[in-house]
Amino acid sequence: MARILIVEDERPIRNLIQRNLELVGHTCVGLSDGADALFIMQSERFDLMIFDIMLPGASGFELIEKADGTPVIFVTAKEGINDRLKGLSLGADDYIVKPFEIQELLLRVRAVLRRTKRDDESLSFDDVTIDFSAKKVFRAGENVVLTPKEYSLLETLILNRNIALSREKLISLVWGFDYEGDTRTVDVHIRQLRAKLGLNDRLKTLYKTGYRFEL
Amino acid sequence: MRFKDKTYIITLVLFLVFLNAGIFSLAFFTNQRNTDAAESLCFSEQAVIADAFEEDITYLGHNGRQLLMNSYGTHYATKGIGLRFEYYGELKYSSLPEGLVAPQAGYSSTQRVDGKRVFLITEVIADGQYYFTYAKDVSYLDEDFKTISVVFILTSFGASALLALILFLVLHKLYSPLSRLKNATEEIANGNFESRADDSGRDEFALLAADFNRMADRISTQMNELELNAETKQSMLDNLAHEMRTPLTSIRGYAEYLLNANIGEAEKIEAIEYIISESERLKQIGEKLLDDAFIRENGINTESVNLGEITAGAAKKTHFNAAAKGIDIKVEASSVVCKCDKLLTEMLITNLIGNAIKACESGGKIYVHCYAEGSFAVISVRDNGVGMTEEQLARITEPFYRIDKSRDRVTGGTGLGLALCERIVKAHNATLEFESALGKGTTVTARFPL
Repeated sequence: MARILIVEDERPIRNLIQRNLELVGHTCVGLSDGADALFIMQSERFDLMIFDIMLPGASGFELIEKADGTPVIFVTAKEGINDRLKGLSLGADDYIVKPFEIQELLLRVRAVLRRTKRDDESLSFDDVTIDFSAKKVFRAGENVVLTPKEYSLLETLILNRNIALSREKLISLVWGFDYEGDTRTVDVHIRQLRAKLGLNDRLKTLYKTGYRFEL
Repeated sequence: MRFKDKTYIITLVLFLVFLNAGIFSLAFFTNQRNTDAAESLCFSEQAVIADAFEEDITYLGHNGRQLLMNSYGTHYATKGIGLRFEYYGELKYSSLPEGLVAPQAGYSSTQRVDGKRVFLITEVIADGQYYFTYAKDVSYLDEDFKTISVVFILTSFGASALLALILFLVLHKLYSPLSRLKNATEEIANGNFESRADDSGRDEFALLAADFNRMADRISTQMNELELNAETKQSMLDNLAHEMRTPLTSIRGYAEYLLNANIGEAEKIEAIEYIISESERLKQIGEKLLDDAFIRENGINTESVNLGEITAGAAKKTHFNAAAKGIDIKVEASSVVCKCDKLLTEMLITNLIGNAIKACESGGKIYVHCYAEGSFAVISVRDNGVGMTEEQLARITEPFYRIDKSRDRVTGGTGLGLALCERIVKAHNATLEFESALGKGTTVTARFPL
């Protein structure tokens, strides 16, 4: 997965972002000072960088000028349209305003990584291999046929691995906000995925919470 | 219609009416004079002719009268004078142009025929035997009148045009300060509050412009104040939103993390600790804002208190925190009695000492003094901590401004402490002074009037 630099001076927020990104498989470097970030950016390469704007040492706007092609997402409490425009015009790939939901952050990180082709092409665990670019799943070398919704559900669970997703959340992420069906649709598809790929140990049902893919 | 145009038109019309009335009455008067002169000339000429005729007729006798009348008529016809003689009511001779009627005896008249103007006089002469009529062509009077009229009309037009121009220029000059004042007011009405009128000169317009400028100054000053006020409030609100948002994001994020993430015991505890500390931060912001609002709304509750005791008490309360960081607090408080709010002054001193503790590393020293100096009770808190730059010093009493830029909040704080101190000090008519040097430490001095 991706290697991500997080520069955010609020320690609780920085840790929160870092912990969640690590949960879904990324590796992170967290810094609180802009000047430190400038220093580390000279010697190390990242797949994605997440900056706050108001930072000690050097502001997020200064940092993005030294980004050198690495995708950047701003996470900030500055919600003014001017700040947003400035951030995006400086070449930021996305702009997230606090307070944000972790789910939203993960989605946007994933979208930016996919758009800039820094995402993994495939993922393997146990005897299962998933080819994200071809949208195909193999079990013990054999192509397993999944319906589009089953594949989409599997991909969503894997991208949010180690984080529980409620049935409602899964409906909105996989089926879309306007889906009017029952949440039991999710249960049916989960059962299918477990049976087709042997995921009984990995794909956990959590009491009152939803489902979580553990890796 | 603009005032200037009104003035212009009214003045011009009045002036032209009187001017032209003057010119035309002068023309009329001149014409009258000419006519009178011409007529009296005619009368004397007629008298001369009549006398000569009477004399000649006496000398010649009545037999020669026809010859005499003929020769008189012929002679005067060459001078443009027509003559007519009646002898006992019978017309004997007439060289009057066709169409003229002889007036009655003893009368004169002016008659026009064929575009000619003729003045006629009839008189009885030679003891009533003759009616003698004298007719002179005075058409030159009409010609003269025409010439005079043309001259006067031209003069009138010329004078009117010149007057109109001069009046316009004079009014324009006179009204130009008013136009400039009007332009200035329009500028201001359009929102350009920096615009001012030209108030040079000493007339009423200049005085008005000066007054207007003073008004504009006043208004723009107040507008600026209002704007500044609104800006301060807006920035305070923005900051407040930011300050509330950050802990809320953390609390919500960690709660979701606890609920959904596949994590171990250590991570769970860490998440819970964050939730607790961020809630605490929210609580502190709320409390400080409430304190601030309380002072603002209710004012202060003053009583005679011993500031020395309060200082010592506040220092004692913060002693534990200081000791935990390895910081030594030294207190020298002499007894100073002064009118102030006991709770608020204690809050002030606690806050100041708290800031000093944050500024100090382990092993730091804090000196707290309370003494009377002149007509002031002075409380000073001095530390040998990190100190501040001048830029930081200028901003420390702004709400939500924190020196600890990293906001990592290892040192805690809401950024509201000194804003609150400032509020307390102001409510007491006291002053708060900061002295600081980077790396050397900070001294804060509060002076309360005794």
